[in-house]
Amino acid sequence: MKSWINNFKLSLFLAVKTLWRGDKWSLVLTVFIMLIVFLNLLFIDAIFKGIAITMDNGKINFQYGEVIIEPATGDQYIQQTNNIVEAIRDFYYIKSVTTHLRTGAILINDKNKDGRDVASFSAGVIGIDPQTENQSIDLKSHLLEGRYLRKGDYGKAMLGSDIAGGYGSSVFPTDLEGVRSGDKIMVEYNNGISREYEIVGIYKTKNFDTDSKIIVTRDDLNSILGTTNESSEIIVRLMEKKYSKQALTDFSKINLLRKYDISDYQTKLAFGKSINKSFDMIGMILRIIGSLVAGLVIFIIIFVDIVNRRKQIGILKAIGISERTIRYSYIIQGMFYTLLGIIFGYVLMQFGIIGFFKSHPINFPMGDMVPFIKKESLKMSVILFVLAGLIGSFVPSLKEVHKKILLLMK
Amino acid sequence: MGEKYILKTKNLKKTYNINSASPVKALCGVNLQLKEGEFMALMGRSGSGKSTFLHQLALLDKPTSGYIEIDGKDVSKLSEIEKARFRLETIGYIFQDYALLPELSVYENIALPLMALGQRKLKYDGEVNKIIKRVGLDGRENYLPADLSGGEQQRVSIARAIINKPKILFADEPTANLDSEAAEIVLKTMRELVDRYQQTIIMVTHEPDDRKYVDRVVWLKDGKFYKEE
Repeated sequence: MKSWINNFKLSLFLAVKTLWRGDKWSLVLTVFIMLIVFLNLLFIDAIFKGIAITMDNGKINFQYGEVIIEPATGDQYIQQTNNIVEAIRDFYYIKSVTTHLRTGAILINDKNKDGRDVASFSAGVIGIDPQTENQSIDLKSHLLEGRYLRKGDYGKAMLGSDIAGGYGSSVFPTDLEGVRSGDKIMVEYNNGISREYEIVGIYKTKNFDTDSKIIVTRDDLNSILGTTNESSEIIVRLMEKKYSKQALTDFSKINLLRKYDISDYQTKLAFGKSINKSFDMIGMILRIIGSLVAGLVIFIIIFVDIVNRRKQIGILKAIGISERTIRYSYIIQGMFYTLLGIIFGYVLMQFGIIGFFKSHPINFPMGDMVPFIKKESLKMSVILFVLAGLIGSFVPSLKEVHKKILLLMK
Repeated sequence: MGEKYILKTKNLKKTYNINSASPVKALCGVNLQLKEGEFMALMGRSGSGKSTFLHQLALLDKPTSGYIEIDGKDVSKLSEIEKARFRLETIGYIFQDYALLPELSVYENIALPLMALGQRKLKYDGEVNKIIKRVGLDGRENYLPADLSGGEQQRVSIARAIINKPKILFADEPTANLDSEAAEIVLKTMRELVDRYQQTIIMVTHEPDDRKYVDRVVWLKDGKFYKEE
């Protein structure tokens, strides 16, 4: 043990002197290369994570909330909606509760009102209480034009940009070919009732499921469906996501909710989870490739360094310094480059690149994306990078240091 | 000069390219005995086998066959790790081109063998400073080799070679790259080591003038002992 410590101390001394008194520009350039390789490792993964988080947040903020209550399979509505809302809204972690009434309809836009140029297709209709909805789902700040629905609005609707048409690319297969606020469209409900609606606002959340809907007031839709105290879903927003499990436990104890399906956002984001898994897998592959590149970079740097210092290795061996000590000194140098690359790479990523994207998010079709470094990914990247640095510095030193003294000193 | 033999070789042979069609016989069965405190010069023409012989003795190379005993130890049986330790503890080596580490200061170059032996600075500091003074480099402890003259560099090399108090010192043409004044200082320093500290030295040299500093001159020719003065 004592001899190992002596070896290590001498290796450290030799490595520090080489780094300190060696060419400063080579040192800066080497650390810069390592920084770039590590940054590359983090950046692609952070983009994937950022996309996944953006998609998830879109679903949570505009579709499911943190907890969602739905009718059991086979049932159409949740009964006694007002009583349920009363029963759940007083838990300390509840931020807001809103209810939706959903149905299907055919939307018709007779552009010239002469039956010649008609756009029509099936879409989902959502009935909301404008007041409670605005506290739970922020469509108001996502209005592209017009206004938000008001309590008492009849024959008025807000339209998602994907089906309004003319608001950029959409994944929805068809649209109303350019409806604007103030325009009127016909809605033929599935129960046969038709009503003309004035579009009071167009919204765009970048969550496809939300942007492909037409939204009317609950009272309006009640009058169509003949419902009063029923709803298709109750969306619960929590103070923080971490309360979702507790909410599930608490809600399951409420008698009124016994026969309904209660899910938290994690269950609802199952699709997102599978995408996350795919991203994780791609991220891991990229991390491994990145680490191989890093290992190769370290290998080349250390190899070139060793070839240039071959004579000095010979001198050290001739004096009687063990091969192990010389090897350790090169591994320490490799680790120094690696660790500085990690530290500077992380700082530049976290405070430079992510800081920049926080104020200038990347405009993705599914939302405004900010790259995000997940702790687990960072840990894995660091482990792989260090491992690559270790191997990259060990291999060339193993090969060269073992050569005969006279050969090294030539 | 003591009576104890510090170095013995028996029938030492070194053949290069041994498995090829034309092997080169560099040493052809050399026998040598050297007493403690003796200063011996190995002389001979280029290709006579002087440096090869020195490399075998200093454990920098492996002889093809034969026996080497240093300080009573059969060194031909040592493993590579044991040889490294033996070089560190028992042997000092002065190179023709000084062989200093360019990133280390004068002080650090000299202290290196003691650091490798696991000594603490507190213990070796006085020793290193003393030796720096002895070789006339006081005031230049923090200089890098590049800032020194050839003669000064060679004196650092000598200081490094003797800092661990080796039983035997090998010097491979230590004055070959020096002007006559610097060469004289180096040779006087080596002679002083012998006279004051009974240091055993084997020196390879080309210079006939160097003979006046040594106790014994052995001539090599075609890998064999040719004559002795």
